[in-house]
Amino acid sequence: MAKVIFTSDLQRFTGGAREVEVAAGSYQQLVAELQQRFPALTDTIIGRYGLAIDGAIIQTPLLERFGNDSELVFVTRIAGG
Amino acid sequence: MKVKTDFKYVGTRPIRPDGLDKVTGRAMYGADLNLQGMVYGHIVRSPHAHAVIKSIDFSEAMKLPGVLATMSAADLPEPGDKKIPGGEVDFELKAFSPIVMARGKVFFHAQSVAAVAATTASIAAAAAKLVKVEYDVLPHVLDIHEAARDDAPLLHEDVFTQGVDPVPTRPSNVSAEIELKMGDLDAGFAAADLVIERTYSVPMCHQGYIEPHACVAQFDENGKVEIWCCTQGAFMVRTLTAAVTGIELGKIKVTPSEIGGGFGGKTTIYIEPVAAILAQKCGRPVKIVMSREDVFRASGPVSSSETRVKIGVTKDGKITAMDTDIIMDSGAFSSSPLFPAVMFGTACYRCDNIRSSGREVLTNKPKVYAYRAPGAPQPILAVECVINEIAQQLQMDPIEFRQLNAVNEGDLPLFGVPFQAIGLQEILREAKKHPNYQVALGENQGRGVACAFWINAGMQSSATINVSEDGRVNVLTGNPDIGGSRASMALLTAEVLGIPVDTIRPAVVDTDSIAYSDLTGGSRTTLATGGAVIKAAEALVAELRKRAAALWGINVEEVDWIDGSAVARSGTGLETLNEARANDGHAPATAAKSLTLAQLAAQAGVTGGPLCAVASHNAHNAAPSFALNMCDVEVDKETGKVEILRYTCIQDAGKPCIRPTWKARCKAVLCRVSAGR
Repeated sequence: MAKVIFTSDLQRFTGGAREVEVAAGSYQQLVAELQQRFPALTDTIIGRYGLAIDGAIIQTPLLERFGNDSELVFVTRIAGG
Repeated sequence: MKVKTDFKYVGTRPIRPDGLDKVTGRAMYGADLNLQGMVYGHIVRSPHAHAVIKSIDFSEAMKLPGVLATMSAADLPEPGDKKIPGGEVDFELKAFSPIVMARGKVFFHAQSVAAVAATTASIAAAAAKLVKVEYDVLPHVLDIHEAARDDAPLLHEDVFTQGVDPVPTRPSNVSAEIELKMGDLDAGFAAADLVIERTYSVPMCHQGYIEPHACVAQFDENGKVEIWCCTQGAFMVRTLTAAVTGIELGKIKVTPSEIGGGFGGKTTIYIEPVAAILAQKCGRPVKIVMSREDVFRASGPVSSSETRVKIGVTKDGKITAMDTDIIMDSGAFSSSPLFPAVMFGTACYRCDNIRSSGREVLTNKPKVYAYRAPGAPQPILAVECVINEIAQQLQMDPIEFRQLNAVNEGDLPLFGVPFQAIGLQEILREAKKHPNYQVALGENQGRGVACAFWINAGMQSSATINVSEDGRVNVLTGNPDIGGSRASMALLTAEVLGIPVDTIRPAVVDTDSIAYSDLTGGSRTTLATGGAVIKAAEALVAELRKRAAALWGINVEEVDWIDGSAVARSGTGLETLNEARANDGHAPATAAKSLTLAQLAAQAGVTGGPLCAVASHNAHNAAPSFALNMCDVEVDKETGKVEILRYTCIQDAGKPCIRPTWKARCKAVLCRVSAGR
């Protein structure tokens, strides 16, 4: 099971959960699974975040896949200069 | 993953391909293009910081001989709630369109209200003065604390504070709030032997790029518009201009000129849609050049901010808790780098108990834009000042204190992603033994030390490589060259193809000539566009091996690409390779079973057609940067004059493509520091 860590700004939408395990193996499966468990995590909310997979921050993770032992963190997408 | 560490061309000192044009004045900047029949646009700007626009009357202006067209927000579509896709985040059109042309209300002094086009720049300027704009002046607010008050003049009726629960029902100038935390802050401070709390302010400042914004727009009979402009992103200009004007994106072609600095300030549009609409209306090419005064008054500076920092440490120097609050001034529309400020202010230090909060406040000033590591310097300044004060009180060396607390691989920063391989400890080690750090300070002299952090970005880029009949290589990319990226692209191509860098011509081309690339910014171009170039060069090598194999009648697997030549793996080819290596890397021209790039290019017509390769890349492998700056100053106690005695900048730069350019960038940072930025 991959591990998802929610930073404190996202814990508002997860009922305070900081860490969950998911059966998902892809970003799209991950979003579907999380939205089933935490309906407040809407597409709008999740769309503001990229996904870090095992430390690599991916701004556009739509087609990303990950392993059973992956650590996943949603990271706010930011604009650079 | 195998990491390549042995390079032949990367890291060398090539003559910059853009250098001669720039030092001779031949390089074309934004204001340098002139087209047949071109006329001039001039923008009417608000004299008020906050006012309702009651009416705009162009009648007197139109009477002036030479005036050809006028425009206002009435010529642009209503932005509504439309979102614009951005490189990293999506933007709201209603926060962009009014910067190009105010709609119904002005929110800051010098905001664009109307524009005219005339046959000469002076007639356009005179006509602009004849445009009568009637205003109802409103109270304005410039200070972030005053703007955050409930009784402050309200800028927008439809802005409700984002990030708080429940969602407010009353509009506010506080447009966003965020809080990140980990660990137990109270326990962290309880474990501290020393706690220091300070508040620091950073004023609003402009990026101060040398070249003012400038553009030319031309419409053709098919409704296609061409825009030439100085920008950090031609595709960004195309996207935003299409969104603001309603012109189909596919009908807009943007050619980036050379750019005289941007530093984040040219990651948006101001005048391009205005020139496009005026060109459409008058049927002539329209040039608009912002004056230096207009740049300072109406383009986006960096956020001012106020940061409160509280840090607790044990008596032996271990940080136990870090608590920061930052307020950022976003100008008249939400645009500040609030999230990076909250996420990255404490990133240099390992600490289990951290809280960081941020508030973005709207004021009647120009909408802010990025400026070098947007959002990070403001809180880092505050954190570093407190760190120095703690080290002083603990009577610890400030670098040794940082070595004790600096993040390492595996440490968890506030933004939640554990660090991979990073170089902060190496930087601190180098700093500690640097000769400048050993110099004894004299009377009235002091030494400051500060760490810095930036996350860096990857994102999307594309590249095209084609080979001319004589074997010269053209490398096309879509990223304006701000700091030597053309030379970097040439070096990366040379490295993969194994050919001398001076046989490669890198070019930055228009939006019709190459696939999409995100803008030049966020320290992404060498990584992402360079990644696309490497992919294209590798694809070209694969094609070259295929062509050689076809000529030799052998399988492609039997052909290697070595030192710029296809070499057959069996027979004399390997001997040729050994000869080549003994011959300073160059294969003898007479070698059997060996074909140089030029030889393959000459036969391209009979082996499958012209040689070219296209690649796209979405870079996900950006690594964060750390730095340490140390500065010795002497203060004249009578006059207060501060003189910089020595300044040392140590950065973890990854692998610099061009060593001299990287050094120049460090020097440029120092120039800005010494200029008080």
